[in-house]
Formats: sequence, structure tokens, C-alpha cells
Amino acid sequence: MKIVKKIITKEDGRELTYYHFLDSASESQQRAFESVDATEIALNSREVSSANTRTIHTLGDANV
Amino acid sequence: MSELRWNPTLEEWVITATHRQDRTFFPPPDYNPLAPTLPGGFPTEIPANDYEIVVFENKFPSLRYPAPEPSIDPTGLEPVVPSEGVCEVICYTPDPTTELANLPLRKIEELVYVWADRFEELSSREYVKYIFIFENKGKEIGVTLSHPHGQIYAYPFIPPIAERELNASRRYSEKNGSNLYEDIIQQEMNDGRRLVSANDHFIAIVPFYARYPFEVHIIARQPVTAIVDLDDVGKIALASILKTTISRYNNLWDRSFPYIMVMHQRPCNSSASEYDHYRFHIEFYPPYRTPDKLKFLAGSEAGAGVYINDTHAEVTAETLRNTPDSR
Repeated sequence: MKIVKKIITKEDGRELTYYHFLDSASESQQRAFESVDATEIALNSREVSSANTRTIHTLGDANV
Repeated sequence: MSELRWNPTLEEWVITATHRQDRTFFPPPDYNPLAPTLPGGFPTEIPANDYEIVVFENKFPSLRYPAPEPSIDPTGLEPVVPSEGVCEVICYTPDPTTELANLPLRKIEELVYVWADRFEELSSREYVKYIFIFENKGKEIGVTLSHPHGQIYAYPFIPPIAERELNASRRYSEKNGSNLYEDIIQQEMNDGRRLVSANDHFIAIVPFYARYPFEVHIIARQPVTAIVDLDDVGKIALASILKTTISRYNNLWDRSFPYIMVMHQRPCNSSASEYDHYRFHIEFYPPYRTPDKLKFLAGSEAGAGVYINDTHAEVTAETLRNTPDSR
């Protein structure tokens, strides 16, 4: 299972994490995940934080 | 405003969260805060027009960090401290009309991975002592948002029920030289009357000591004490037995079945070996005792902590065992 996540800070300072599953996401979900960007989401520039994207798990051997 | 108030009579914390009185309460469908934000539509919690699984801090949290100072001064008898911690909402489907039981197994597997990731992430915060993953399902439970979702409370202390379980299993291990949950599993597998289902990694039972008629415990058969201890095969096995259990709940009376689902595991910032007397497990508390009768927590339960169950575990386990996984 291959998972990527993006962490953003909402306008009010709360953290939101998007989980994206590479092997099962629909096209709509794929596009939505790609569209997630802290600059676009945080309307108040004082609360913009860099979008933190990292792979959290890759399952190459179990073929699930 | 939230704070932790100490109850010296029960030696436990109570969270007061007065701001939660005005939290969102069954909004109309066009104003569902847990749906994706559609072009031209109401801006929800999720600023994208679709999602798979998202986790975000609750807008009306009982615990937060940093937490505001309490509204009242403490006394030596009744301490009060800031309500530090984290409250998260897990939205595991963008579809407001579905529920966990109706999701493909793959999606439940993905949720299990997210739970493990949240345990790891929240455990890294020094003010967090216990990760409590749960889901309230159904109006009967008091759910205020019908869009399917789970929650996580990252407490700054070990909550009372978890502490009782940890201590009880430790005392059992010291006295008997074996793991309490392992012994329960062996007894139930040998007996069979309270068994609902099982796979190589988990057993689902209506426990001998069930407090609710259709209470189910899913217990790890491997020596794991937290969700992060599960390997990939274990995570998939957990998703499988979860889906079986909640599907049978829905198929019992051919309708969506309300329940509280809670995850019990070791405190964070600990090692599996430190709690090898314990065992990771999930408990379900469904409120219905018949299709049209609820089990209420009345005097004996709420006032004395003594539950009265109108059924025998062996009977309800057989009923669940004979309920199909799908219709």
C-alpha cells in the first residue's frame, strides 16, 4: 500500500492532513490531492505554512 | 473554553468544554462541514472538491494545544489545569450517505493505516500520554453530524478505563504468569459459544462479561499492544474482521446499527515489551437490546458502575455468528 500525505494549516490555525492512496484513488481524488496547496488554501497570508508532503508508507513486497 | 477539573472522590479528570454547547448540530445537507468543498458551494472543513481520507483538528475541541488557562482558580482539594491534548476528526469517505460497513474492504484497510499513522504522529507530542481512537455512530449515541467519521482524543493522561485494564492485566500476569487476553482468547476458542468470528490475527467475541447485549470485543491474537505494532498482514486482518463485525451488525435487523467503537491500546511513548501483559483490542457498545428497545445506562450503571445485561453473551454471540456478512 503506497500512501502519501500532505499537511496544511487551515485559516484558523488548525492542522489538516490529506491522505492519498496511490493504488486506489479515483481520478477525481488524484486531481483533488494534487490540487491541495497551502498557498491556495490559506487565504490569510499570515497563516500560510509550507505544505509538507512526504511518503509515509510504501509496501513493495506484499503486493497489497 | 475547556479545562481539566480533578475529581478527588473518584481520582479522575473531568473535561469541561463549554464552547461545545454551540457546536454544529445536524446541519442541512447543503451545509455538511465534512463533505468536500464543491465549486460555488459552502466552504467545508475540507478545502478540496474530493478526498480519500482526511484528518483535521476538531473545530470544537475538548483538548487542544496550547490550551487556554482555566476559567477558575484551582484549590488544593480541586485542582484545575489547562485542557491540553489533541482532538481530531477522521473523515474516511467523502460520501455522506454511506457508512464504514458499506465501504470496500480496501478502504477500511486504508483507514487502519491512517489510524496507525495518527498514533505515531500524536505520540511524538510530549504532552500526549494516551491515544484514544473511536467512532460514535447513530443518533442514539448522540452523534451531531451524520456524515460518517471517526475521532481521536490524544489525552494528556491515561484515561481511567485504560488504566484499569492495564493494571488488571498486569496483576493477572504477576499472579498467573500468563497474558490475561491470551488466556481469554484460548478459552473462547476452545469453548466456542461466545465466538463471533476469527482469523489468524484477531478474534471477535461477545465477552463472557458483556455489559451490552451485542457488545463485541475484537482482540489481537498476536502479542501486539498498539495499532502501530501491527504489520501489514495484521492491519489487513484487522480491517477484515472489522468489516465482518459491523456488516453483521447492520444485517442483524436489516438496518444501520448504531454503536460506539473504541480502541484500547498501550499508552504512547512506551514499548510493546513494557506492556507485554496487555493486548490491543477494539470494543463495540451497541445501545439496542432488541430491534425497538434501547439499553439505557440508568442508576446501577451510571451511579454504581454495575452494568445489568438483559441477555446472555452465548445467545447474542450465536445470533451474530449466524448473521450473514452480506445480504
